[in-house]
Amino acid sequence: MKLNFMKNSGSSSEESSVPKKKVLSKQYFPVILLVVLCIIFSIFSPRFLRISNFLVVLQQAIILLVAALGMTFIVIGGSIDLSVGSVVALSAFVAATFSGTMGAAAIIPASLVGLVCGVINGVVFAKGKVPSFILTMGGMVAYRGLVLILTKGAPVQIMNDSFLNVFTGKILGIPNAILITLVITILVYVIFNNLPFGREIRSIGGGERVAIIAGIKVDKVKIIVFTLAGFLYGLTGVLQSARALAATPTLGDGMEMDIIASVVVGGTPLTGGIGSIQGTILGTLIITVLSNGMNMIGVTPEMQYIVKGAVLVLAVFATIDRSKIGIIK
Amino acid sequence: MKLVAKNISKTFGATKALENVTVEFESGQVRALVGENGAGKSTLLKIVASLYKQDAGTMTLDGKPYDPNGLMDASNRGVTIVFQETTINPYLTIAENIFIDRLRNFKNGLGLINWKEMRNAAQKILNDMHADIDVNQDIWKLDLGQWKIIEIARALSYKPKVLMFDESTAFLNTKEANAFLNVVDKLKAEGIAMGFVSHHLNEVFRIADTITVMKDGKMVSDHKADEIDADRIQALMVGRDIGSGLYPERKINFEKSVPILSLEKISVDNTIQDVDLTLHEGEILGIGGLKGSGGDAVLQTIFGDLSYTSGKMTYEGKKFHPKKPYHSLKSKIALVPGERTLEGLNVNFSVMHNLSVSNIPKKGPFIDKKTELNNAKKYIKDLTIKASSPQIECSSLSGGNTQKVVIGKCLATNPKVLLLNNPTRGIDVGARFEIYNVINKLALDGMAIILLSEDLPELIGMSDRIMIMRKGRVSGTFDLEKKPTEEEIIRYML
Repeated sequence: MKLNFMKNSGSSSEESSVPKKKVLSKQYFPVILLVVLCIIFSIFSPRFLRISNFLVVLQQAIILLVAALGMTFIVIGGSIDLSVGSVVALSAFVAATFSGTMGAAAIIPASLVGLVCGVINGVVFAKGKVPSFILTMGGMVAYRGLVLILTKGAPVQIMNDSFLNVFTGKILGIPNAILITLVITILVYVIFNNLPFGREIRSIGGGERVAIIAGIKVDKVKIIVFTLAGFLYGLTGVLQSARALAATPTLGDGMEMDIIASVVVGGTPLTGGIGSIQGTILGTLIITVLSNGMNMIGVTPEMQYIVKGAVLVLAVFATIDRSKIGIIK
Repeated sequence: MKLVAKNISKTFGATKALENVTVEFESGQVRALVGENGAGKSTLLKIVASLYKQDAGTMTLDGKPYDPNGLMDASNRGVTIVFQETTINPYLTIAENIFIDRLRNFKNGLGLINWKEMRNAAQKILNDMHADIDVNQDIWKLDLGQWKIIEIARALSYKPKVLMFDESTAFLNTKEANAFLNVVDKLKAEGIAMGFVSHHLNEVFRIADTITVMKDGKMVSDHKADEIDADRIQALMVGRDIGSGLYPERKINFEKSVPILSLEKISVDNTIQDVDLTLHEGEILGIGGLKGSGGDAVLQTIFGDLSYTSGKMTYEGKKFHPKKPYHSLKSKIALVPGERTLEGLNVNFSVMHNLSVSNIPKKGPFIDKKTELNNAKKYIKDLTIKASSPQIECSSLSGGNTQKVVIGKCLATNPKVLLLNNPTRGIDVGARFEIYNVINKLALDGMAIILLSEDLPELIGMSDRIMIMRKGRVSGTFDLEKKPTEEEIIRYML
């Protein structure tokens, strides 16, 4: 009842002329947070600012980033995907298994498996009208079960040189994985900002009924969003398995939390319709720098959980313009 | 019993919403506040109800200082408000909706809620209003008008001395609005002081004792209701004389115009039955009827939002059966939906993005952002959308300008048939006038238009032919030549 009153008062045209300054500072909060974290960590640990550590952070961040880009589409479209960690694990298993015979080409079956998981999620979500939270929670558990059966509970080692050369090698001193991620990020950025598809995702997340009446093929867009995300999870599985030199049964366990946190910390609210790729890039850097920095200055793992949780809440508190969100669930 | 608000001023950001306004609300009197959107009427009511705090000025209640601390405090002191939008929670019972913030007042011996006592208290209020509502009814089965009555019951449960109505009838149909006004009459007789904001001047004349006209945050006139007429009020509201020229003149020659769309015995299960209509190029076909009588469903069926179960639809000489809105849009049929902000556009998106969403200009596979911007500028100019830039969010626009964006969005798909569902609902006279001119010009250019409207003067003023619906069926049709009167039309509606 009370929320309704508030909403009512907010709808008058006069009120929306909020001071622009405030909005601007909200927009830049992720950047400020990242800079502040870097300053704090470099004060307490001289090793933090070294180029070698910078590369470590980047290599950790890109694995989060590729999956988080997929998640960004899903969240802006108004849904959520909790199955990401399990899909990454499944793809990593496929990559590790096929790397022995196919070499670097194992990326193809691995990303296809991710894509198929995405299609299943997308079709059941769009056509079956199952809420994405419940659907992907089911997916999270079921796909993990599949991974446990397939790996028989033991890690699958990767020893194929061609696979490792491609995904862990370097060109001109820059790790290939970073270059691959760079290309993916640019493609995703263009899809989101320059293709009508990106607009359609935002429209659906902003209000499905409006999107339907605007003539958007809502079901089709939803399925493509989940499919695209699944494909990106597949690539994440490849990068992750290459980095770990193996696919373990617990790979990607709990990863969905870091990924969703990256998206949200970057300023994309879970209510949909609003958000950006740049935000997610910053978000993944924040989450990674936080872990890396806390390890460097010797924060205990228990304490790290508490700090991470607090930063997540603080970031959302400071970033998201709640006046745009009707109901805060 | 008297509430006086003296020299009230209020600014929002850079906008002066109210400037030095003084009004009195007296026992047993209804003061109507009229004016364009953004004139400050709602702001004034909300300050009296303590939803906003004034920047300057004082209020007194019965001569004593009245400086409430929020909506609940004001309500407990006998000043309360009924809003335009619904504040009913359909998942609660009627009694819970009425007493939602005072559940603690109904306790039994164990300290638990005494539901029976609460239901009885709610029923008593409803009975006192002569409202034909039983508290045991399922609230989601009632109509919007009955919800409004329940909201009034909630307001009355505070035993108010002063009651504000902020465009409470905006979303009601004629019958619901009448029931509402009857309740207001009764409250008047009981000596409650009331403030009433409405865009419907017939309602204003029906119940107001005094009429205050506001413009740009200032009071421009204050008259007894019998000392002023509708034309004068409209002129004062917009600052110029509109007179009877609100609806543009237009003559259509049916012998020359070509039928573009026809429905023969179209039925949709449980919604509409055996609807026949023919729409010509360059024609405005009006559809009237009470809410829920099927007009919405006819538009939805043509737009592919509902799929017809029997009958035959022909469009441009071919059989036509759209299953989804995108089928219709592709066939150049566009809809301006009835709920602007829930169906029409996304208020968090920019004017430009809302205008282009149904037909995004492309260069190869990419969005052609330059053309998109130019198109937006064109529609802003052609439709006189008052927006400071194409990038500004629609949430900062008034209702009238928001609706113009929805119309622009439809026009961007180059439609041959335009379906309008109550296009001027809740919109002030100035913006209405502009929207009527736009609609008229589109018809003159050969567009076929269906205008569904609950506003009878608008229906009569704009349409070339009128079709009235009742309980899902066509109950009457009026051809041009001699325009029907409101009374003639209402006979077919009820």
